[in-house]
Amino acid sequence: MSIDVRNVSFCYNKGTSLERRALDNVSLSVEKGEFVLIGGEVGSGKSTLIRHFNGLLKPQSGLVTVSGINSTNKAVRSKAVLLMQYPQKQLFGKTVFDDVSFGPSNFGLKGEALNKRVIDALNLVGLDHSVSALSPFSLSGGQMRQVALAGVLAMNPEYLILDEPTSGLDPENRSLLLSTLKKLHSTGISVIVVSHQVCELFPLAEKVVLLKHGSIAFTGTPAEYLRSVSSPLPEVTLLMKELNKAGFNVRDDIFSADAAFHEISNALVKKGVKRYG
Amino acid sequence: MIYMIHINNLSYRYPDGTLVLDSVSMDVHKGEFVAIAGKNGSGKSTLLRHMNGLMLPSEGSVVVKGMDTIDSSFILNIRQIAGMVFQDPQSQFIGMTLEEDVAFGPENLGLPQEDIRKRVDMSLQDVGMQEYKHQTPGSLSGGQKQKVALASILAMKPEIILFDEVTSMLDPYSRGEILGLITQLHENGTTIVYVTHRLEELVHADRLIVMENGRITHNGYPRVILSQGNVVDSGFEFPPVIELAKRLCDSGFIDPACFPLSREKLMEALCQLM
Repeated sequence: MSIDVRNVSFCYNKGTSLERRALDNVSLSVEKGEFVLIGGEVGSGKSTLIRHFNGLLKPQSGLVTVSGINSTNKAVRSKAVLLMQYPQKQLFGKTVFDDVSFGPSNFGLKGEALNKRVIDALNLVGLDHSVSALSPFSLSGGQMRQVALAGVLAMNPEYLILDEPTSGLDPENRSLLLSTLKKLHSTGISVIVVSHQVCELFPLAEKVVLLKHGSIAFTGTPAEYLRSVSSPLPEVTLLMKELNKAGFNVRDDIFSADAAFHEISNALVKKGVKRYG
Repeated sequence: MIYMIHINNLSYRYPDGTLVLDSVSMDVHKGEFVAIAGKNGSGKSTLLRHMNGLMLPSEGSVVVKGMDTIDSSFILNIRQIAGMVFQDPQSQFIGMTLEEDVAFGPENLGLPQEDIRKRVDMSLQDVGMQEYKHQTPGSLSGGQKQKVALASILAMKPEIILFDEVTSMLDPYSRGEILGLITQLHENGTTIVYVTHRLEELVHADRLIVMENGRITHNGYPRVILSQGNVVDSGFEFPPVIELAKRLCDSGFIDPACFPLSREKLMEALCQLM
């Protein structure tokens, strides 16, 4: 079971003078249960690509299937769900319940089953069911984003796709969101995250895809990424590479402060550097 | 030193009684770049909104260039001296075209047409958006929108600009551009007050104010404050490379007085050790 993208190309405003190619013969697959990061600069085609994953955009050439179903079939919309950037702007319900239940009720879920679905989805994002009677607009920005996330999770998706999910969040809400994603992934859902700051999500990721001008420039594990891609790299990795050039002998395929601290302090101790105090 | 903003024992309560600012006293001097940091709900944006009379004190006073914000006859003057740029530039747009949008402020000052046109052109040029002046705000990227929001403040020729987390919705490239513009304004003598939780943005600040539960907990040189252990929990985002720098300071390899606030500075400090 996977999302399969085969030789997909896509142009905006095709056939007009404003024609702009966004995807150029892209092939890629996301396995069920995988945690995938999709990175690339503004305009590299990231958002266009993920809009193909749930049939929001249909390939102009090539084929996209979700667990074997062609993406032009509406049934894929409940298997692969997309959380847009600033999803809190899409909230519309009088109550949190109205908002979260909207998707599954459109797919025919009713009564007790619908109630349970909503409560489960709210619990998954760490919200108490008591918020379901509140207006979503009475919540904080971070909570509104969690409600929007609960809204797509209520579809019981196999694939959760998020477009720049941490953008505009303060550090506290960001780590809350990242731990929610980690938890969701551990329940078996595939998580696909689009970000221009892929590096901050490296600790969670199994696969990294880098897009450049509408084509795939790299696919591999985070460690492979650090060894073979020259930019963008995490700041810590850049520092380690610079240190090696300056004659330190340290590992440069790491990105966490913790790993780097051990490497650097070992190197300094070996060289007999004295500590202050 | 000349006070641009003088805040004395400022407290602010919401109508339901919740205390948001608790006896805050601070000053902003002419030409300074002051950064204000703190967690969500610490009161940092509320404090900023007092600095141009957008909010008024429940107790205490805020005086901008000698004018008390509580005196409504000063308010237009104060708003012209201290302009504010918000987190979401979208919320600030009113015009059909960028030109119209930027002209709104100066038009309200009752300036002659010719002056208005000059100011609009100048400020759009300052932020590098002049070629877009006939476009609609909706056609712009997030970074471009934020530049236009800044241009409409510049058109008022403010002496102080108040920035409320203006980079938090931007991609790294646009963030760099906006920060570049702000640093340039500061170098040209504009007084800057800048609310952020991004630590790497504090490098540019002359002074850092840290807020917690409506009170100021730290007020001083950014480097000195950040090298103290107890600010880690105050709502800063410590990027991994700064966290690494901090651990190297804490374990005695790097002198905490020289706490490196960027990758380049950390590299320098480490090379000096060798």
